[in-house]
Amino acid sequence: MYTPDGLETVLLRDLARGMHRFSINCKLSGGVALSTGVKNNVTIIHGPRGCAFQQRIPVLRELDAKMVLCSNLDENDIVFGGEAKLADTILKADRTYMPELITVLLTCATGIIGDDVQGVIEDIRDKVRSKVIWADTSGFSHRDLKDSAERLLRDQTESYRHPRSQRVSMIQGCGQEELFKSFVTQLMEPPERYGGVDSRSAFYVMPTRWFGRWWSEYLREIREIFGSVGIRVDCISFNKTNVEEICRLPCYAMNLKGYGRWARIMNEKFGTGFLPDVIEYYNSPFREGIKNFYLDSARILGVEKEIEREVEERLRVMEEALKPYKEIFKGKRLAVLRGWSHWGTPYLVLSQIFNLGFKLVYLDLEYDHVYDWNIDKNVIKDHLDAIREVFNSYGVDADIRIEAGIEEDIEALKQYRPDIVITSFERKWIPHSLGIPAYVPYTFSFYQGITGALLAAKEIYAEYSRQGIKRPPPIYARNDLYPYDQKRFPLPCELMPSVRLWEDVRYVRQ
Amino acid sequence: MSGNRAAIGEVTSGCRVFGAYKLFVGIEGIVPIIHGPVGCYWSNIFFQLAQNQSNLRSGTSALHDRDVVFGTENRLRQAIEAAKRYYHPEVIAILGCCVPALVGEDTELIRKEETLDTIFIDAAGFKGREWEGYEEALLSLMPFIKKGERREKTVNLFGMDAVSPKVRADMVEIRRLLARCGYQVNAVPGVDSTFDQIQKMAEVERNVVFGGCGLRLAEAMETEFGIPYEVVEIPYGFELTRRFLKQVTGVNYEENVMEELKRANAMLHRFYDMPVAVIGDCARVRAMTEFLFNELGCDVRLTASVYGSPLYPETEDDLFEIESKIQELGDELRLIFGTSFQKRVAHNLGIPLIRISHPTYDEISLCQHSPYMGYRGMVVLVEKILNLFLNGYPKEDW
Repeated sequence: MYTPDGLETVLLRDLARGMHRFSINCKLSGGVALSTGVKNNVTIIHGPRGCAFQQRIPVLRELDAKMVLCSNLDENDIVFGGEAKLADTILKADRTYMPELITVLLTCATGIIGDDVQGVIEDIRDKVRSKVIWADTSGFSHRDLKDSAERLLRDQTESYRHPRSQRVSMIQGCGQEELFKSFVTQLMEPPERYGGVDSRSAFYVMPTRWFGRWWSEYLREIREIFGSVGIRVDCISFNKTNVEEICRLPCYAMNLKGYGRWARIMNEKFGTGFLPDVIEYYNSPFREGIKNFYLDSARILGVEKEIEREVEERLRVMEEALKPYKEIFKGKRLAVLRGWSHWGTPYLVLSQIFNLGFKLVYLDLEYDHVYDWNIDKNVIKDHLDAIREVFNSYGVDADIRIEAGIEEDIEALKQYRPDIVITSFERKWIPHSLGIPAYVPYTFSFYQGITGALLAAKEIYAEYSRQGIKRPPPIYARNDLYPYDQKRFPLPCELMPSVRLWEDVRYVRQ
Repeated sequence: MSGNRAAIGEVTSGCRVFGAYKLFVGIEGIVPIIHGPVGCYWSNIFFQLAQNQSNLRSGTSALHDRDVVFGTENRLRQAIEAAKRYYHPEVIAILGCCVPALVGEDTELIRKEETLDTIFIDAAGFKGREWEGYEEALLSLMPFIKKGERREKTVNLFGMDAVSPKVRADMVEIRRLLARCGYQVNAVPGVDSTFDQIQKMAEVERNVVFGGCGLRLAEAMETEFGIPYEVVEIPYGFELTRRFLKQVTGVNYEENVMEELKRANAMLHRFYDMPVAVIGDCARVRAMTEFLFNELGCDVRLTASVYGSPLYPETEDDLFEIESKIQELGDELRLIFGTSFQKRVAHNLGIPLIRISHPTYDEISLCQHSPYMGYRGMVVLVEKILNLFLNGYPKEDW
């Protein structure tokens, strides 16, 4: 499939995705993206106007967010405190929009001057009809990026080695985490208020970016499998969830997509179970990933034995459905040229090997150019070793390289002559120029579960069957017309100073 | 209109840092450093990259927790060093965001240590609006402008920036028209200017100030160098273009736009009394409104200036109010000239939106020869409007 999403979304998403080579956004962005996904919520950015103006386009939504108010602090407010203006803004939001929820997000200025936001909320609680919560999303309030990058890589390394007992980890700087914590501590209500915890229920959170059309099918699969043993699964998607759904989340026994520390806080406060996954192991679309997702979740819910039979039956049906594809692809040579981030890549590649019987001959691993960052080289080495160990542990012995240049990739394809290539949309022309079919998976996250396995097989087969794919490299890939960086294609050479500057500044430890 | 500098609402324009950034990023040789946390940098470069993905000569100090406690100076030093290492600039422009302003760093000390020329703009978001940051940034170029021999029939153009839609094509057209009248353009600060051109800005016959944007530098140059300035309307359409050229060059130069427009002769008459709304920066809103009303005969039902200038500091500062007014007009309205921030309301009402002003992040302008300004621009605009309607599939909802 060319892309499952509309180009009006994809083009802006690509721009934002590409921008991560030069910068990252601050917590406010994640906070705005998440809060504006709640129905009948008004977001208040408590700070100067610039923060509200700039963050009106949350990267994870690709749209200008609606109902984003700003307390618009000026110099006087900074000197004398912004509390009065915050109170006025909350009152205005309540009066003008009549929302169910008002979410106050702090900025750098208010994070530093130390407004008593909770105090303001308490003071005006009787004057507003809506619930009011707040989160500290001040842009500076994150750990040193060098420290946090190393910590994340270490956590991932451990997770690759022990995928069924992963650590809770988080990406520093993403304000979604802060707002999720605020949901837990300020909005969610004791389950007793709604009749207690339903021990046979779970929820699956979709925060802001995974809204590809195939997700409804995937969620139906999860619901059906858990439903077969009497477990109700509801999806909380932050494009249409409402306030009451969030308030009632503690009534569920388990959080099925429990990434981030907020899941642990929820567990501590309400006892809600969760399953950490920082390497996209669980429900990666192959037998082991799928089975362990259900079994490990079911263990937390106390229905492990009951669900195993259903999962096995589903996997049997899946394997039956994959058989015709496997007959076609068995022993066929597969090469992977980037395509996904290094997170989860081993399992996603392994999925195609197990599901379709490919023989992996060449893997050019997307690695975010981590080796160029000013972080501990031992941490990087250990991380890469762990990724290689994953492949080795499944008996896969391919030529694995880390971010090869374009010429190197072309040479490798000529050398290994794969029958099909999995790659990114920017690199699809490389195999096509050699007459090799090239499958481009979904940009952000590969299809998951049984649904994902079948969908991927169907799409890979469709690409494999295409005729007349061979064509010359497109004009925008011609190095002689617009030189690009060999390793970081499609980044043009003229933008490389901006990339290197960012990497230098980002990972300096004071 | 909102006279309150800092009214509560859904803000329509950014803070000082963005005003300064969008000027400096369009001057080759000057590297702006966003001295603040990562989000300030991201947000500024987003609008820049949305218009030009091949240029990003800027940097950041990427401040975080520890810097707030222990001071931001070292981070700034490192950012300056990195900018020098990768861009070899002639000048570094330090744009101080809220965090360094609040923790109180000694920027002057760092500037004194620095061997390269530096500019410092106290651009903290709580200290003012975007247009004020732009004016201050433009004014900060004064010390670099050298007195030189006067070049007759040469002008500078003030008031443009790197992030407005069509700006490069517009400047190509303005240069073409001025050249037809015997005039050359030295510098357009903010739009692909070089530092050398900036330094030579005092050699011109006069400065041209679009819609009052850039007025403070024009006034300072008049005082310091005796260079007169002309405040002009943005040349949208036939009459404003003719007037612009007459005002700047004294030449009455016209091109017969009807030679091209006549091919849509039967359709042009539908422009008359068509209800439209115009939203954008003060300069573009004033000029576009005049063009639409006086030349196309449109019925301009709503105007909103979201970005000011020293001449027109009052702005509409609440998107919610603008949207509400548009919604009140509802079906009556047939076309919006605006910014990307009107995308949703335009979509909801099923009204076409032509982006004429910053903030525009969802439209790219590539062709250098399809401007909105000037005689050619008028033809492009008329063509665009007609095709927006003609390309639509008729609704059959009876």
